[in-house]
Amino acid sequence: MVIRKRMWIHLAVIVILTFLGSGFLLWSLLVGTPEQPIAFSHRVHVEKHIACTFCHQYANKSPQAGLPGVQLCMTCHQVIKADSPEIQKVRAYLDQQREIPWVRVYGFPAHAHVRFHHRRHVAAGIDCAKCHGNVGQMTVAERAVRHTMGWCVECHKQNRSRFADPRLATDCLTCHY
Amino acid sequence: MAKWGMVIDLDRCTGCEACVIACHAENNLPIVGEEESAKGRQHNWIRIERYWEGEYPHIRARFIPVLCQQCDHAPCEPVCPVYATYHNPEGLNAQVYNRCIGTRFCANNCPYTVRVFNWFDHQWERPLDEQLNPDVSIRTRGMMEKCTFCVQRIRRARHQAEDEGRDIRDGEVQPACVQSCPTEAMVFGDLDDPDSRASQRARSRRAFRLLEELGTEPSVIYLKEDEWVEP
Repeated sequence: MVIRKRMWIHLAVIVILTFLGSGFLLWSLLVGTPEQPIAFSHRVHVEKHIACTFCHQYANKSPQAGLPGVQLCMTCHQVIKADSPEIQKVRAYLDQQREIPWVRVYGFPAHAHVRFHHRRHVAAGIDCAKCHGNVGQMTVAERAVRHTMGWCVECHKQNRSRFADPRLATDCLTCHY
Repeated sequence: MAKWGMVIDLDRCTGCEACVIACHAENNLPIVGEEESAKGRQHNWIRIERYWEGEYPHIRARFIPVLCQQCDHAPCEPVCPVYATYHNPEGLNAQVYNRCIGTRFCANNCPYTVRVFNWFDHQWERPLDEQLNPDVSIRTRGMMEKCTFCVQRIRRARHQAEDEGRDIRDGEVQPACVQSCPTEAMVFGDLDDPDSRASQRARSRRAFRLLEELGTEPSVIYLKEDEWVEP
C-alpha cells in the first residue's frame, strides 16, 4: 500500500515537472532571455547616465535602432575596466577585427511582414521602456514585453488622433508591406 | 487624406521597360526565368503590352504599361475569403501578405491580370541578396502579391512630412517606375488635390481608363490621342 502511494507521488511529481518544463520552454521562447557572448549589463551603463542612443545610434534616426560596433565599446573601455575578463573578450573581438555576435532579443519574424520604424516611434515621444521594458534595471537584456499584434494595435488605437488620418492607426498597410 | 493615382501618357511611352526593371529592383521581385515564364508564371508587378497599329509600311508599335490599377471598386477584394486584400483610406488596394492563404481567387477575378502568385520560395544567391530592399518584405511561397504603388515610398514621404509638421507635397512621392521613366510618361500624385500634376493631366481630353466599361473605377489614368497622325 505504502509503495503504491509512493508511486503515485512520483508520478505526480513527474507530471508536474513535465508541465513546468514545457511551460518554461514556451515561456522562454516567447519572453525568454537569450544567452549573449559577453555578460553585458545594461544596468551598469544606464546607471552611469549613458543615453540609449549613445550605443543604439540610429534609434531616433532610422527604422533600425542599430547595435554599437566593437570600436565604440573600446573608445571607453580602452581605459575603463580594461583588465576585466569580459572587457578582455571585447578587446579580443577588436583585435580579430570581428564584430561581437550579439544574439537578437527583440524583432519580428520574417513571416510577420512587419516594417517597424524606430524613428517614427521615438519621434512620437514614446519611451524606449514602453516596448523594451525597464532595460535600465536589467543585467542581461531580456524579452520583457511580448510584441504581439494585439499589443501594438492597442497603443495605436489609444493614439489614433496622432496619425495623419485616424483610420491609418489600425490600417494594415501602416505596418505590413 | 490623399487619394493616390497615376497618369500614364501613352503618347510618350517608348516601351523601354525601364519601369519594369526599376520595379524589380525596388520591390524585391525575383527573376523566374524563361521556363517558368512560358508556363504563365511571369513575375512582374508592371508589364509593357505591345500592339501594332496600321498596315505595312504605315505601321507603328503602341506600348501600354500595365500595373495594378488600384481600382476603387476592385474585383479582387470581395472574393478574398480571408480579407487579405482590401481598400485602405489612401485609395490603395492593399495586399496583406501574412493574411494571404494563396487561394488565387483575387488573381482570377482581376480583369487586368496584374496579380502575381509566388509558386516558389525565391532565392537570391550571394551577393545578389545584398541588393534586396530592406523596406520591402520578401514574399514566400503560396502568397499573392502585386503592385503597391511603392507604399514604402509613400510611408517614407509621410514620415518626413510628419517630422516637418506639414502635408506631403505634390511630387514628393515617386514610385520606382515613375522615377525611372526617361520620357516622364508617368506622373504620380494625389487625385483628390485638383492642383496636383497628376490631377491636371488626368483632366486632359486624351484621358481614358483601361476596361472602363467594367465599372472598376481604376486609379490609373491613361492618355492617348484617338488617332495616330503619321509624321
